[in-house]
Amino acid sequence: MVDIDRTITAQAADLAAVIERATSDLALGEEAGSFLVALEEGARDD
Amino acid sequence: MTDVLTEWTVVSLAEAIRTRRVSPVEVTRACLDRIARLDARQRSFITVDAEGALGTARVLEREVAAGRVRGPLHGVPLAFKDLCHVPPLPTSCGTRTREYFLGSAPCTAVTRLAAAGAITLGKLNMTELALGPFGENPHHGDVQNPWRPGHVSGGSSSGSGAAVAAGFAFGALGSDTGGSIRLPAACCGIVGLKATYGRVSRAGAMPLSWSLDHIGPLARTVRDTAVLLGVIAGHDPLDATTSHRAVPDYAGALDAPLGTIRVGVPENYYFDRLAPEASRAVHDGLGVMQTCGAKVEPIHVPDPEVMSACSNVLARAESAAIHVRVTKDRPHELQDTVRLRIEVGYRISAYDYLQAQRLRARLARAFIADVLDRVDVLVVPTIPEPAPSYDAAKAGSAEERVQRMGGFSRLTRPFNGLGLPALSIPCGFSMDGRPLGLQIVGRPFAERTLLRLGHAYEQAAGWVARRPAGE
Repeated sequence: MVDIDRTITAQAADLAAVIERATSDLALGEEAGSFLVALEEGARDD
Repeated sequence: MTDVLTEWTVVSLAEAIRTRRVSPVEVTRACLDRIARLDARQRSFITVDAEGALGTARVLEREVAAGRVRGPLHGVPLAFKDLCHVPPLPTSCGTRTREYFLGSAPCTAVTRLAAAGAITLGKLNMTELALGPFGENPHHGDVQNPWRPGHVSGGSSSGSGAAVAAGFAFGALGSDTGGSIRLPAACCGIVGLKATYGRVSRAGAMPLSWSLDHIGPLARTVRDTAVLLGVIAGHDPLDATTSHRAVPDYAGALDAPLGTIRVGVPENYYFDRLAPEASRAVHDGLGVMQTCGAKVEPIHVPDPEVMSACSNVLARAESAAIHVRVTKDRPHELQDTVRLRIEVGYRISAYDYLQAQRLRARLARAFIADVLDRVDVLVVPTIPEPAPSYDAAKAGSAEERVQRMGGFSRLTRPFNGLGLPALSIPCGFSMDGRPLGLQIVGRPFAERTLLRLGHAYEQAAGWVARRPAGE
């Protein structure tokens, strides 16, 4: 059980580290809700 | 009638019913007989609704006799992953609780299929809470691969893949949060489509991750997949993420000339650490696509590992919030791997969750600009190896199994985070007869392009004619 707990904590920490590195230069205007807009803007005539 | 079940398609059966060459009651009985005869071993279904299916078939038979056809699926028997709320049937979501999910409204996708004339055969087996790419289920039985019993069917829509491949149903619905439609489609030698995020409503289906969940079709051919998508796609007021874009005629576009299509083949990530036969099958497939007019070129894609971490943050945090009652009150009911994956979500901060949401939008924009402004589609493998045996999939500690699960879904998961449409289609077999699959991935809402290339490839490659040995 202790091992499982350690694994869970380690996995969460690893994910947090990747997110921290990848988001260091996010601009103020980059909103959490803009993903759907990105998809709509990325579409072309199919 | 066995020939009807194993050789006919959604499209050919619907035509035969419309012209009264086949009766909806006759074909439904044949499906139910086949399920009764073979599914005790295969474990595709959790609930078979024989009475309901035959009742609907009789109504549809009377209608067609009177000259009324509801839609393109009139009289076609389908089945649905057991996370779709289809009253009055129970929805276990692969858990041991018979009625785990009580949707506030019936599953929109199922309702649309029924309105188009489909018959509901029942609810299909799945991995517990849709967490797991292989198809094991301790409560409802491990779904057997129709091509090779003892081997995984792929998951989490395990019953959806196996039931269609085995000729129990002509098509199925699955859900896909990290590959759960495409993995069973590839393992079972059929077609599976995860459309663009927002193209198909998820209303009335158990959520696993609001940001990454997709509902979509599995079928034996690309044309059948196009017909099913055409019925279920489109805005739904019950799912705020659905797009208001018009739904094109997917099936009608398949026979138009393909023209020149630019196919990108990633130089990085997607062909790393593949079983040689999986890699060879995709490259052979690319050769066939060239004969269909595709212009194939190598391309470097942004590192999918960043998007993978981003998706994991979203999936873990959201699944922890959604399934908090079972994980906190009845954790002993869940498989250790399911518990382990959900528990990570309780350790993720609100800060990391929001940063992942912001990052996701940036990564999607970058991927479209860097890759899909240069080529029309990407072609990549669906599975890194043919379906492994259950013995191999289940070996080791919970941590080792979770790691193995991540490895098996590593080629499908990035496209959930990116929200891009991805079509999995059979591209051959291993030396010992296990199916292999490739994905065609395109711009947002470019499902028609994917289906057109997939159809042209399917016709030229000929894998679609193969069926598992069955009985």
